[in-house]
Amino acid sequence: MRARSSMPLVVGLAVAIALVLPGAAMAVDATPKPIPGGIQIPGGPLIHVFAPGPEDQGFMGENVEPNTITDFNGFSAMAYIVGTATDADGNTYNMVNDMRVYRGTYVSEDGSILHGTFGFI
Amino acid sequence: MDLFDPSSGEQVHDFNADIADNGLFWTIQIPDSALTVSKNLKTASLHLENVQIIDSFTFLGEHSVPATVSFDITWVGSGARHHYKPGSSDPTDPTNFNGKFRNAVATGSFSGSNADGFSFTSDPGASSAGVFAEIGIEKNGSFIS
Repeated sequence: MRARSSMPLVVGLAVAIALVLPGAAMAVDATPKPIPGGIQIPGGPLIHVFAPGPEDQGFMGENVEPNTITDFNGFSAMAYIVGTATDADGNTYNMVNDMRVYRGTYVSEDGSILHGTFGFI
Repeated sequence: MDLFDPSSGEQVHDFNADIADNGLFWTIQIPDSALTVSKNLKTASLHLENVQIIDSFTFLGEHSVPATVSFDITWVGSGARHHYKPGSSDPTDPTNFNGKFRNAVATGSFSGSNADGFSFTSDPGASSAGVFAEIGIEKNGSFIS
C-alpha cells in the first residue's frame, strides 16, 4: 500500500474543496477500524480483542494478534502488568493491567490512510 | 486497569477506555509524544497523564462513571525476535497478522480516580515479570492481504 503517496493527495483534495466551497470542508474520519475477530463472551458481545500469551497461563498462545486495530502497519507493544494499589483511605487492592500501545500507519473508517499513536487501556 | 478486593478476589474497579460505536475495544488515540521507542525496537516508554476514560467497576460492567488515569510504563525486550506469520487467511482468526516481536518485561506506575471520589495509586513493583509482555512490529488487514 502506497501510504506516503496517498496522504498528500487526500490533504490536497480537502484543501481544494474547502477553498471552492467554504461551507463544505472535507472532514476526515480518523477513527481506526477494529480487528474483525475477537473473543466471544458467552451470552454476551463479541469483543474485538485477543489475549496473547502463554497458553499454560490461560492465554491464547504467543502467535496471537495483540492489536485491536485492523489495516495497521507499525510498532506494537503489550504487557500484562500485575501488582498492588492503595486507595486514598489506605485500602490495598490487587491490580492487573492489560496495557498495549500501537503507533503506525492505518486505514481509518472512511478509507483515509493516516498515521497515529493509540493506547489500549 | 483492574482492581480486585484481596480478601474476596472480586473485581471492584475496571478503568478502561470504553468501547467505541464501531466496536473498537478499549483503544483511544494518544499524543505521539506520549510514546518513545528505541531505534532498535528493544525498549519503549509510555507516559500519559489525566487520560479521560471510564470506570465500569467490573469487566463489561453495565454501569460506568467518568474516570481519569495516569501512568508510566517501560518495556525492555530481550532474546531473539519471533516472526509470527499469518496462520490463516480468515480475517477473524487470531493468527491473521504478520509480526516480529521480542518477549519483554514491562514495569509501570499507575494512578487514577473516578467521578464517585475513588482514587488509587499503584504500589512499587508492578511488573509483567512472570506473566507476559512483548515489543515489536506488525502488519495486519489490508497490509498483509
